Amino acid sequence: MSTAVGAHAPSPPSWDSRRPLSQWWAVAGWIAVPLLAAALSRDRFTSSTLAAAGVQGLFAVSWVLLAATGQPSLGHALPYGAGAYAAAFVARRGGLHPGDLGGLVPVVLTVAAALAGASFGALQGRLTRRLSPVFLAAVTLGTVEAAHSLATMWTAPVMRGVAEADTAIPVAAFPNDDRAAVWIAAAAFGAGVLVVAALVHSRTGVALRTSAGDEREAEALGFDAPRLRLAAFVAAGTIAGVAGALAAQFTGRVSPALFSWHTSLFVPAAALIGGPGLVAGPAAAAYGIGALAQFFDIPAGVQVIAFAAVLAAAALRDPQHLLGPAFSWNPRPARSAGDPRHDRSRSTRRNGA
Amino acid sequence: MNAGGGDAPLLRLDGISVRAGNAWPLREITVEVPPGEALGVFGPRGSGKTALLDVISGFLRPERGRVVLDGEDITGWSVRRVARAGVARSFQTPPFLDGTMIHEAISAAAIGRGLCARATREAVGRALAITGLEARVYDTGATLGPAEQRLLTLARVAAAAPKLALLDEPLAGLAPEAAGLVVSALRRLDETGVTLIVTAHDPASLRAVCAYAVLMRGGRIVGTGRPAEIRRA
Repeated sequence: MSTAVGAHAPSPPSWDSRRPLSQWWAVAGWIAVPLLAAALSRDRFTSSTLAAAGVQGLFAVSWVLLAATGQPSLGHALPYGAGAYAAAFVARRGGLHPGDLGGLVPVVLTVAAALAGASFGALQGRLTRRLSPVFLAAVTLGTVEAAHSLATMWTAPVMRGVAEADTAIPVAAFPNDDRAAVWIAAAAFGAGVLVVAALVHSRTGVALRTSAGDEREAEALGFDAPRLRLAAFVAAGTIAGVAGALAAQFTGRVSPALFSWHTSLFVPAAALIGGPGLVAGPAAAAYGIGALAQFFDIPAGVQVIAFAAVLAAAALRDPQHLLGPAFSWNPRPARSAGDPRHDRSRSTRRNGA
Repeated sequence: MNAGGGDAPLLRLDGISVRAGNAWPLREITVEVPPGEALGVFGPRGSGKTALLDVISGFLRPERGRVVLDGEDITGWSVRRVARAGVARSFQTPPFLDGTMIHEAISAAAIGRGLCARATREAVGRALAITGLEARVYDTGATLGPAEQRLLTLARVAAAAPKLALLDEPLAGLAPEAAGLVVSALRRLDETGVTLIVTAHDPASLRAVCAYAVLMRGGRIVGTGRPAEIRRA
């Protein structure tokens, strides 16, 4: 296909296409922090706290893919819980224990969880592919509430008077050693941050983020916006499913609470608290909130109130940021004077803005 | 009408009519645009200017007539297929690019067109040079003023390396000074050899860019000629 532009281009490319390093420092930092914490943890309580924080961080960072595509899901607990239940289901049906299959059972369970997370992510994506962000939030919330009821009915057919704890299903715990769990969680969290950061800032990521805007605009640029948004749901669901499998294996149980309000509201609240960093901010906030909640044993009901307050405050302050392509990636201005890439005052004057 | 005459047309609209319920947004539109020319489409609100661009870019399917691009009948093609065939399109409303950096917003156009990584970088460099947005390359969309948003729209069109660029009201709502910046960028884009179709209310606003123009009213072409002649008519 011949092209017209370029035959008489006014000047050669004059911009530096390398990304500012500050972008990657934040990502590297939030890979290093949990690994450092794992190395420093000495007692069982600290290890289990940090392991839970790592899982929560991985879960939250998966939601970034939805935020980047303008899909503020309030039902991301669905693929998370589905992953956990899939791992439990495969383990129980197969009679598998962590030492079976040459020690590969945790891997098999994690793969099953990833597939379940991807499937339920795809389901949410299909249901919401033509919906505006507000309706998408409502429908995804509906899906996870339905899953919560189904999980409760599955394990306790007579629901009246059944406590949440009574609906839990035991799973063979892996690993037995809390110190190993914290390393696994830290590695999974770091890998998740790296994968999501690399994806969001790749050419595919540019396409994904373009799908967050006006669909007509995306189509005119040559993108299939509904398909890209569905792909984001599948990718986010896959990572959430893996996080769910880790949660199930670390705690040795699954319960309908995995599909709860608390789990669903946690990720958008963490993303909002995490601030403008597209990946590192939400990941950091989720890791911190997860660790604090575990360390102080904050009841889920109290956490829900806090998360709801964060969402309400964000909605009142700027609704478009809550229910739209909310999260930006703003590198800090260069400190060296005279760097034209970051000399905002100069460019502002030049353009008369 | 043949805008400019001479060469085999890059775009030919042959008796295009579009129906929307009982209304006819476009009636019997026949236009030929030679390669490298800039055609202005003028007319009041509701005259059919945007509908004309919608038909070319595939958003509207004509009831009658054909759209021929570079000798190929593209009537009824999907929007994405038309885009990949080399037709870039801008809209009246600037894109919502709140947290997206300028170079990423521009590179999206090249990626959407299917250019490789290296070609994308080069296309972004050319688009920045055309629009003068080099200094804002690492800023985000949220920091842009109205004129810069229009320049960003133009940059995306340029980065798509199109055969044909369709620009819908690129000067709408801009103050004269800001409009001047956009007109300068349009002239630089025109100088690259890309074929342009630009819509506006006032022919005088695009006199410096478009050598030929059509005037629309009620979905019909009611006048052709140079922008100055159109204005007098």
